[in-house]
Amino acid sequence: MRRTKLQRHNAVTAYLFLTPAILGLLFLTILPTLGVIGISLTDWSGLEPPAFIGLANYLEIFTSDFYFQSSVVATLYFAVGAVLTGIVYSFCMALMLNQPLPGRGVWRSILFLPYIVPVIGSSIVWSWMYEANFGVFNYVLNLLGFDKIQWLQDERMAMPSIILMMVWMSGNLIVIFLAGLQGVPKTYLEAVEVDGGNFWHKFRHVTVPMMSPVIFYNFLMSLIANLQVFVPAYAMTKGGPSDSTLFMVYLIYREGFMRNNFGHASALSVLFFLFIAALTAFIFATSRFWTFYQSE
Amino acid sequence: MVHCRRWFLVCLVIAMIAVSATAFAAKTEITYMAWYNTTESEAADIQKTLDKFNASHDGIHVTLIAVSRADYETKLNTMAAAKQLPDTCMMAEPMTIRYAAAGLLADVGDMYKPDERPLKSLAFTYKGKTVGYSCANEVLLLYYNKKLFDAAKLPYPPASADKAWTWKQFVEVAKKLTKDKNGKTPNDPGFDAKNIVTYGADFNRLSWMWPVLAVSNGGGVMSPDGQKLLLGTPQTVQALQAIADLYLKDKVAPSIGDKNNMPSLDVTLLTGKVAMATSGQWEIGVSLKNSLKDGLQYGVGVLPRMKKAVTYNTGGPFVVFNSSKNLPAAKTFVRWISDEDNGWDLITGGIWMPVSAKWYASDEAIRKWADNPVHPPYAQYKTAVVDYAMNNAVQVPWYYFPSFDKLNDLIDSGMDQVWNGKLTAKQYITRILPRVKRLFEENRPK
Repeated sequence: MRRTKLQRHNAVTAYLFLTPAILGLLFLTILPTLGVIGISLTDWSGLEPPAFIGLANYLEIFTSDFYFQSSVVATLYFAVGAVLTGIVYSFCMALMLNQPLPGRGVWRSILFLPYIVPVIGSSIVWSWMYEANFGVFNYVLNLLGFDKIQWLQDERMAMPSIILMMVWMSGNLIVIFLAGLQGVPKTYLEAVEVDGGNFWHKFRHVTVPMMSPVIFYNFLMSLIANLQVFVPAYAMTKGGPSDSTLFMVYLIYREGFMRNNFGHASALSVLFFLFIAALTAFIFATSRFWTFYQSE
Repeated sequence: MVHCRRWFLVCLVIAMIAVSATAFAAKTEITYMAWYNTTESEAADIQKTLDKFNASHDGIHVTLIAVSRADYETKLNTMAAAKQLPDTCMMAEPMTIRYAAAGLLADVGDMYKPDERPLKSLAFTYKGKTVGYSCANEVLLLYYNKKLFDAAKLPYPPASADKAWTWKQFVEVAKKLTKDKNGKTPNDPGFDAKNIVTYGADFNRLSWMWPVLAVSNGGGVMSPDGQKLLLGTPQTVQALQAIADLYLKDKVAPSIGDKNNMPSLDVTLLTGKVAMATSGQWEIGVSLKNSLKDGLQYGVGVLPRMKKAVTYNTGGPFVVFNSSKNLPAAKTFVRWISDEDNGWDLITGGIWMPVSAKWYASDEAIRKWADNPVHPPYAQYKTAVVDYAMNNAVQVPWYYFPSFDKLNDLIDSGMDQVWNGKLTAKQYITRILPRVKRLFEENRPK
């Protein structure tokens, strides 16, 4: 079927508008990704020309990388910890802010504010607050008669301390939950009341099912974002103590840019990319078992 | 006639332009990369030094590339990968031999006249070639708060290597100086180790610093030629455990967590938080001088020894890159900036010690830079620092071993377990040794 002149004209216009996006995708995403895959097959320090070594970098990661295992543990610990606590905290805050509180707008602003502070700034300020001798947290503990805590120096405490900071920063989740809560039909809630149900019944049988797509969205997006955490390790702990906060992205950065192992770092990047893609696909594939859509 | 004069003027202008263009073109352009630590005003100070060079050299113009210290390695590595290296730079010690092994650093062995040559101990060498000299001579020392010693009626730590304390003597003194909130020492019954007000000793546990005690004990991380790994030797394990025991058993040192949260050395000494602490010579200018006005009375001594009296020497080098299109100009600049006259304020300010042998050649030469109010009393400084540096210093392995930082990362990755007593030094070293051996063999200069 031949296109009309108008259709051809529209197609050209559409392609013209799409061109910047396509070029951006090509040069800033697709080509660098292919480049990383290519570099991952080489032994390249950045100081000498790369030498093709096939899959040796991948083999090395699983057989003799000193940090891979602890990095996987740290990354998963952080991602799961930050996502679960972040979702619970945000959901609770959203439920609270959905009530007719006095000064509700102010509370909403206060809880959203941390999200718009750059992570690097928050990390530096929080590392001051966590400071063992002069930090505000230990000052309060001291006033209450407790021993001081080595927030960022103790390998058991460093990760929970970072998770706490990241949860504090999850104002975006609160806003999304809040929007979702305002979309829960009041008629359903009133129906539960008519049947003699209390707050818990409304929450368990109406709010949570109706909110499940929003919970799913927040869960997925924060999981992907938290798996790629970098700044707190860079600004607060440098991966320590004892590699307890050696997140995968920080390890990739350190191996590539500080230790001149670009080939190895690229192989780690490719594996990490595949892991996140597989995890996302798995979550999407199973989402129908735990989300509810009104249209169903 | 008018026509002729006009032609003459035109020719004159053209000639002047040609001459100045030639003069301009004759300037050789080179770039120098350096870091600033905390504020960009440091970069302005470096620029002032370069301005002096540019003003005094007609044929060379140096442009500064100033980079934050935190991003320095990343920036340099990225520039190397992109083949955009500067002509010269200041380099972090652990990177130097890795760059040399990749063939990126120029041989600077021929750069100095015999009477200008820096000390041999400051040469970074790879396969017999000198690829850089430290910009300053730095050694590890023992600093102490005099008032605390006076109050405890204890003699000051020895200021000369031949009288260096044994480890046992050091610990005994540290115990007498350690005080809990009730004024009790670890030797007293009822000593409250959880509420220590003054720690007697803080032997620096930084990954590259603690092995100096192992060297003193006949061990270390590796042999001075970089060919033999010494980390697993009983001497190294014993030294490591001795340092850990300062906190774990002797109760004279802060935990590693407390240590990491302590303020700068001058403040810890001034406030009596620590009575003795080991660190580098640079502390005199970087930290200690800041608290003199507040009444800090400190002294400097030599490190305690296990067998022989030894200290580490170090200092980041100036290097010239082989990729420079103007190698002679780059070397001229590095020779100039290495000259003590151009870093005099840093030297007399206590941050650096000179690099050239001539500044150590006579008492008169040493007095010129070391006998001033910033430095400790000259007699003490001369034996505890200068003579110690000249006679008892050995190089940190990054002077000759490629990728010492990778080895350091690996050794240090779980070291907190030793410092916190979860593992003994022997258990920890035994655990990591196979991996360290492999990394060592991969990087050993062959």
